[in-house]
Amino acid sequence: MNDELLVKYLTDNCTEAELQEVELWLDGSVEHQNRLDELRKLWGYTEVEQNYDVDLAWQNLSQRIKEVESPSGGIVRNLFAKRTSYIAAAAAVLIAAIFITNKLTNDTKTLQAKSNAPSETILSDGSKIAVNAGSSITYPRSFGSDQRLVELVGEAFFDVERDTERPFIVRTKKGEVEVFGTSFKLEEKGDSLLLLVTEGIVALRPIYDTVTTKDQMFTAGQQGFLDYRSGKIYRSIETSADALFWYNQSLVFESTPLPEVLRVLEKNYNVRFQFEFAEIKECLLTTKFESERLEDIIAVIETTFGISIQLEKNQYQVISDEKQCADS
Amino acid sequence: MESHQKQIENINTTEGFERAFREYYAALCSYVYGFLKENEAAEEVVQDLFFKLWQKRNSIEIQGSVKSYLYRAVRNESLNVIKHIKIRENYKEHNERERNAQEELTSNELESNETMDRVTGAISRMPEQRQLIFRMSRFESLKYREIADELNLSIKTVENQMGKALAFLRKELTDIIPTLLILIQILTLQ
Repeated sequence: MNDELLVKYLTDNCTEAELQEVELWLDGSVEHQNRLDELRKLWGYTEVEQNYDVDLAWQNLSQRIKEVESPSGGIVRNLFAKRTSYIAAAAAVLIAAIFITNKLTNDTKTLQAKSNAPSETILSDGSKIAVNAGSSITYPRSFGSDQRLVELVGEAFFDVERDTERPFIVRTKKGEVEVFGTSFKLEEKGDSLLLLVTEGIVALRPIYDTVTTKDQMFTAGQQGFLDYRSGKIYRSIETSADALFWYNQSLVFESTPLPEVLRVLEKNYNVRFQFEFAEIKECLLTTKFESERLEDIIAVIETTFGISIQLEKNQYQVISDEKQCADS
Repeated sequence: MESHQKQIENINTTEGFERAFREYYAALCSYVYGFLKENEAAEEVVQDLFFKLWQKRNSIEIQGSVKSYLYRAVRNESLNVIKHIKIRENYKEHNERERNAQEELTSNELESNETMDRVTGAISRMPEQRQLIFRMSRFESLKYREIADELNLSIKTVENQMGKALAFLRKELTDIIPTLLILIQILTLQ
């Protein structure tokens, strides 16, 4: 196994055959998984996005555009000028309103998602949070100068704006996550906290009473698992296929046996599958679906394995004449 | 984040244009900084691009996403700038200036900057073409085929160079990759 092939795997440039080769190699030993992990971490470290003053830059740019579009110096109003003054007027009213309501709510806000649908919000620093059905997030109206702290009950996806001066901290019942700017999903379930990182580097740590202990770092593609009872943190490369389905309707399968694929589809699309041949568990699927209709997903599965999936009465029947999957 | 891009595509309205600017500005500047090693120059390149884009917003036809258009445009402009040696003569002096500036930071800040410096330094020490291929894969998220097409190379060359790039970075940065790997407990979750 050479670096070239591993990098292809990491950057999604593998052919089907190469994918299988790498996956097979990965299954071979923990050492191999570690090596891939190390490469992934290295890849994560090469993220070099810095802080720039976007507001100032936008001011400069709009000024420059204004100067070109109304060289006479102000008699002709252009879109940019108009908008700025509208915003200034509206802001004055808004500020007054916020000031009044915040006296009542202790300066923090809570976003509580309804029991049947996720809900999204944007925080004062531009970070975006999507909260899954039934979960809630509590955050201050505006963040202080040394950190950005929010509290989570349940499950949410975070897209955190980069700010190296102010770490973004998500606190749950007995765990904490700290980042400077990245995107990740956190799910609290019973006595555990599950972290899935999609971009950047995230630090995960347990909290006992008010004492926090050592951090474990996770990069894109990695999943962390914090057991509240023991305070131990575990690391896994395997993530459930539908970990982000509620957020962006994505399903990720990596050498997943077909029965498991069907189970995931049953759960997320509210359908039922029936299959008769035992060999179906040898059929492995490696692919990503994002916001696809069920019919299209089924078509992909049919084509990949050379089988037929037909809707009969209220169930999908999975049929294979050869009683096996085609070699891809 | 890919799923939010769908809202941003309309750059010929002021709202859409400003949204695109705010969304991509920092990342684009960082990308250009990687080439030019100068923050002011980086911001200038990006702002110039957006300025020109606003001028031709009604006549331009962008194939593919706004994001990839912007990245390709700043990349080409950066390479252009380098070619004209505008920066190269200042580079050595600039390095001295930056080194002196670093020493004034507090100890907390210094640690993270040090890492970033090590990383940017390591990337810059790669041969030019390997560096460019790496940047296009890493920061523009281009597939090997796309990189090969844009640079007129074979895919084999791109594969080869990417492998060498990571191997090189691993060698250069081996001491800053934390020793987590020794302490990992891997639990397969059901």
